Amino acid sequence: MASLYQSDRNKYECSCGAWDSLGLLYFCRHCSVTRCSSCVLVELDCFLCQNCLESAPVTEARLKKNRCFACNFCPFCATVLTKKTCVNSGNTFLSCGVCRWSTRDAGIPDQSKTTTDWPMPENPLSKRLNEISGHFKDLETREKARKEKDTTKRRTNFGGFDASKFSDRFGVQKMIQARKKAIETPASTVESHVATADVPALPDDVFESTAAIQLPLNVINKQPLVEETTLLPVRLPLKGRKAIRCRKCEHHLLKLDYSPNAINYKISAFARNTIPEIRLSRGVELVVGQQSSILLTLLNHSENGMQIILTPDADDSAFEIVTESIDITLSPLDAADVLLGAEESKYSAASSSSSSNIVFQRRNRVGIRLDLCPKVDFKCLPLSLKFKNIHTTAKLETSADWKMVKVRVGLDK
Amino acid sequence: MANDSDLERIQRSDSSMSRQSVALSSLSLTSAVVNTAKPPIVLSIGSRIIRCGVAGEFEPRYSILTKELCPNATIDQLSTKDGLKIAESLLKRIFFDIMTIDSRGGRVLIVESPFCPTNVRNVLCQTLMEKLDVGQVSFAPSPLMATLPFNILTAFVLEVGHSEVLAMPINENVTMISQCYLSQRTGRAVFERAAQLLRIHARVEENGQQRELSDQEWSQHGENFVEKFVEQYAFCTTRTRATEIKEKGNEVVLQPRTAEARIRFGALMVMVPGFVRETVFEVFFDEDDPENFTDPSIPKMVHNAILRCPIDMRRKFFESLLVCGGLARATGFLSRLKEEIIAISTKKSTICGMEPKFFHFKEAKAEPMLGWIGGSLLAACQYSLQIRSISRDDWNKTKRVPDWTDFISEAA
Repeated sequence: MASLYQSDRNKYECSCGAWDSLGLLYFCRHCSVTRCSSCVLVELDCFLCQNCLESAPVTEARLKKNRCFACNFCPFCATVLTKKTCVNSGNTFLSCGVCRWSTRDAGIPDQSKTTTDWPMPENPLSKRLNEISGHFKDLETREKARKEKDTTKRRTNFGGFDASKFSDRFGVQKMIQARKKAIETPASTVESHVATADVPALPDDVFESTAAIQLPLNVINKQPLVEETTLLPVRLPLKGRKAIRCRKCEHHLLKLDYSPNAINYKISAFARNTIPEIRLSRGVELVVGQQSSILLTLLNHSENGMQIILTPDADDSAFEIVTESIDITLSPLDAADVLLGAEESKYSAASSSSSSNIVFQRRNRVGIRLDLCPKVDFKCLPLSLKFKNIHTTAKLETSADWKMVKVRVGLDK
Repeated sequence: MANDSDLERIQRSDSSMSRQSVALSSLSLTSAVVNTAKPPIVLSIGSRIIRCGVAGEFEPRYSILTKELCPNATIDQLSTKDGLKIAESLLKRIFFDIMTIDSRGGRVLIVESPFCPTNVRNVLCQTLMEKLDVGQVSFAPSPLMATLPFNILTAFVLEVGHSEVLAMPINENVTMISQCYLSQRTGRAVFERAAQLLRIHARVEENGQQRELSDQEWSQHGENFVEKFVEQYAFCTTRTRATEIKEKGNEVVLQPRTAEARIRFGALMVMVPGFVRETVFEVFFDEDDPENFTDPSIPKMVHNAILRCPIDMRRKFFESLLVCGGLARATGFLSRLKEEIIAISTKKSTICGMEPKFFHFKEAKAEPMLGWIGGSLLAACQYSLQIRSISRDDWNKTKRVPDWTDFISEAA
């Protein structure tokens, strides 16, 4: 029975054609269409350390290489390290509560209380690679100058015409001289690496030890070019806080409050707040050839009332439609009614027509019965849901239009 | 002029890097969407490990197991019809959750195998352009990138990966595609061999007695156990020891004796006999294994590939071997490879007895990430990257990543 409540049973169609459950969709009020996680833009507006909750804007995070300087984790078991104070000297060292590793094991001297600058692992190849990088930048400048020289065509090729003798009225001379210099300066030469026949031999102690001879892969991956004896604490990576925008109109669909620790939304355009939710009320036993009823529940999670027209999608091959369409008006959920236990909402609208198909109507939900005659066994009931809700448009002066969304209700057990 | 010769070599080379620049330079320079304040992102998407980081840095910021990022799919499934969805979830996780860098308007360089299928490259490029709004995408072949950290123009690159073992000669910056060699004896084959051997020979120590592992225990923890064993306990032994183990099997007595490995297996303690530690990597070196492999061993493959090259380059290639790839960092790999290459060459009279020489860094075991580091060095050169990339405008026009053969037909 509880499987009826699973959100991924019932899929709604997004404007891009993808099908997703209602909880994962957004509704853009400016474009008046649904958006799914695939057709929205994700932005990272704020960076947060999971441990100390210190936030950083984008530019600062980029300088810090998206790591928190104050928090570190253990290189072996990836647990956050705690700062311990040495009683005698008042200095601090970092220690892991799980595997008992500490910065003293790595040979790092105790630091003063206020410091947050624990030593970072040094890349042993950085000096050499810096030289090579400089050499490549040099080659790049020459390549650029050569390409520019090739692309500019000489308009005239007058015999004896020497451009350098003319005055530099339009700044052309400067360009030509700079390009010439870039090509003609001798390229920086960096020595190539020399191949050697001297390869690391198999160490003798590898035969005697019963313990591991190499570090685990997840340890190596965190500090790739560092030897085992010099493993250092690793700075905690910052997590990015996502803000979501509609791809077409670039308005925000989802935005958290300004404060980095906030968990409430400033803007939240979830589809659930605009589109009615539909789910199976009871399990269904369909017999081919016999007319059967499917019981569905429709819920209104928005703040305003909405009118709904539910129609089974005409699909002649799978089933024969008996119930043509159902007209419903749903009121919103009022918190006061829930507390007071009122069965009928004080907003209760007049009961709609085609009441023979309505099983019950209570506060913001209605139970309906759809009759159909299946021709073959089918797993998903395709429905077309037309709804009218003032939330569907961002413009206050225009009245709400009817919007349509296609739904597939999963009938499997 | 000596100074011009470097540039000329780059332009003459028939590797993808220089060819792309000829055809696309006029189009790709007009892209206005790219945010050049942000450094490019370099990705190396392998079937076992994904390395990602920022160009200009000398080690990848994050190296993650691929199966952690693609829990329900494998990288091979990128070429199927679900490929777009898998690529989207993978790349979004890499950018927003792992690296926490906004992809909008950025530049991306992907270091890939030269034999990466075209539709996989198209899927990756399409996802980056359409779903992540990247401004500029380029692809670089990993054997060529592996030569950049050494600043060399000639090397015989041997890439020992998880799903592919590739031998590619590169002479004077020209990638000799038609002389390359692929092998089945990959990292995956090593893990499979380890799984077979451990299932048979591993013993649980319980109450002072030893017993075999049950099927249920194996199905629960077996995969992690095999990985742990191969990564931490196994090593490449010497040629003489390997031959003895092959002849005598379980009953072999070696000097010095290899100790048993005691490894945690879930809540139990498991003993693995010493010879299993040495035999696992024989997948790479065992010449006669017709039941399991039709391909020659890796040292034999090196010989065969070099023999296919013109005669005047062979000596040069033997003296410029470059090994890269994840499992190349196994203890004893390079020394065994050298031993085997010499042993094979003494059998064949055509190869004179010179000593094979390797390019490697003594300071650190950088083999697994040489490709990534090379990509980062290239991507740090903004202009050079731009003329070797496909921009948004080009992508919108053609919807296809240019391949090496496109330039040959365009020139024709």
